[in-house]
Amino acid sequence: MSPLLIAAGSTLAAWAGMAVLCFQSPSQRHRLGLREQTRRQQQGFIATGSALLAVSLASAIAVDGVSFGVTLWLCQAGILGLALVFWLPYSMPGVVRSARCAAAVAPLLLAAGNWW
Amino acid sequence: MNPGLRHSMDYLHTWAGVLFSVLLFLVFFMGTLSVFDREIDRWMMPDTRVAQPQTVSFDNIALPHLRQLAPDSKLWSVQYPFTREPVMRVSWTDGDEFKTRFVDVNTGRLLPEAGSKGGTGFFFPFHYSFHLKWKDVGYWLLAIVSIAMMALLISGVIIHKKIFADFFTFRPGKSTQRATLDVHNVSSVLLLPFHFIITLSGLIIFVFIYMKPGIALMYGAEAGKLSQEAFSQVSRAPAKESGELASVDAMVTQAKAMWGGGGVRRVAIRNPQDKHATVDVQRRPHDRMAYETHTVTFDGANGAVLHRQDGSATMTVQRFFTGLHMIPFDHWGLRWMYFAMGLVSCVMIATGMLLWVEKRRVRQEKEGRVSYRMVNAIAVAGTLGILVATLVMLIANKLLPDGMPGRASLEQWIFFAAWLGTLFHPLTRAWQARHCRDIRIAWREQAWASAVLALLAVALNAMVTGDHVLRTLPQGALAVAGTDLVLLLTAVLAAVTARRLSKRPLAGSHGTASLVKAAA
Repeated sequence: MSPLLIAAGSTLAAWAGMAVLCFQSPSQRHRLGLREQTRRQQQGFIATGSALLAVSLASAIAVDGVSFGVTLWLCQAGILGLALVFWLPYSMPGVVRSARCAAAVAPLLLAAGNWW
Repeated sequence: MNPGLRHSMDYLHTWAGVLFSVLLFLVFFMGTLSVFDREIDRWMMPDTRVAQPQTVSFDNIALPHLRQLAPDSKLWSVQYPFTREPVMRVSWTDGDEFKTRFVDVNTGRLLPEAGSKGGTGFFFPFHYSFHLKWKDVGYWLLAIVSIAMMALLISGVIIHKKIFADFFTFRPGKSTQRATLDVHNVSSVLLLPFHFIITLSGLIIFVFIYMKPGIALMYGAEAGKLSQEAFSQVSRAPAKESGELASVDAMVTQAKAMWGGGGVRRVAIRNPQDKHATVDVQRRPHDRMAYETHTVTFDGANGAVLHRQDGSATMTVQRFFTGLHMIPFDHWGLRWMYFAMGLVSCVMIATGMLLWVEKRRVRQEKEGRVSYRMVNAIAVAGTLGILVATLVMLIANKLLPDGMPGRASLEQWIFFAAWLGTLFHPLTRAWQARHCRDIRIAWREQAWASAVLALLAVALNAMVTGDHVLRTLPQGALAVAGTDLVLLLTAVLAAVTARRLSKRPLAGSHGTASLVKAAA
């Protein structure tokens, strides 16, 4: 197991999760000029975002144990959330691209980290 | 939700915020600096920038110095070097005073007087006691501030009508007041667990101080017994006969074997010259969240184990919260996260103050009232002023001559004088603002001052000690390099802030020219 790869995977999963949750917010979509979501789509976004955050939390615990893992994850999610919120008004495409990229790379890093 | 409750909470949030925000900012800012207090020590005490020692021996290194420096002391305390502090910290009691010197373990050399209180001696105690020692006033003030913070957090959640809808809201393009409110909300809500836990754990750490009246009621004159019981400590009265210390290194080896691994944090020897000397060997909690030091107490004369500390369940909870707050563990990722979150907390408090001023500015301008200008001046001194005073102290640390008597105290007084100056400055500007209503002048000037001072501190460190980033980074002297880099980042951020303050028009303002004309 490679703790470094899993920690990186956890961070990327948290970033993608926060982004997905951010884009399900109706007021945020309205502000960003995105089309309205149906209730089903919104629930899908919430489920995906929550699942990504859960994966991120589980990976953080796997690397650092329960006390350190939960604390690190809470801090990480907060800081990444802030970074996302402050970046979004200046470059929505950048946030979207980075979130898609993070969602694609996170499982690979987690798998590689477990296999290594 | 009951609108009456929300209104009451809004009132509480507004006024508790105005009353306590300067103290809260001070506590959070000093706490943020304290996350890297040892690294600041390395920056402020150049003599302690030594290589990490491979082996540490109490008998060969600490003991000869303690015998020479404090032969009659009742307590010797030695902090062992570790990753963040490569020197040995040798301390002893001299009457009511607690004195400390550093020893380079690689050479066994006693380092010259540090001449500075550094991060551990100035910023860290400022964080929890405001340097007000008399009758524990500082601790009690901290308790009041912490309770106010809890009230602010809870009332903030209650008054925020659309807490989930606004979870990700930041609108920099809107008015200054709106953008400030967004920053205040986002920084509060996304880091709510941190704000809450750090405040609660801060209160829990000093439970023994805050429960003093209750302890006095239960224990009477023997109040010291409580900590002995709580921390499961052993105390032995001196025999009043001279005695020789057995090998402390052997005791350390035995303690390590009992713990099953781990390093030593501290060795404390009570009544070191007495036949009944006791030696406490504490474990460094580098691998766990809880601040559990698992002390083993030895008979100083023969090295026999007198006691092994096992904390009660209650104390385990207290130690867990202490660890969560004080980060005694080796985890650089978490340490940097705490630092970043501490800075975000400072932003949250500062934006709260700005909101108060901004909300009242236009109305009070029309009514001809000036109280918002006073609060604005206090807000400048209570936020940027603290940064300016800190930077002035760092500069003084490099300019004051080495070996000067009272150098460490003088550094401290320079901080307070500079801080007072940062209050005087916006007050003068507030007076001038009767003619020019741009209340941001003082903010702008202190932001520029911060940028210049931060650059000057880095330059002086390079000139006086020869340690600049291009040298310290390749050498792996990360404490000094990191402090310099953070100072450089501070300079950049302060300059950007100052520029933005110059460019952005003041919402609802009539413009300086028209006001001057109207006044005429």
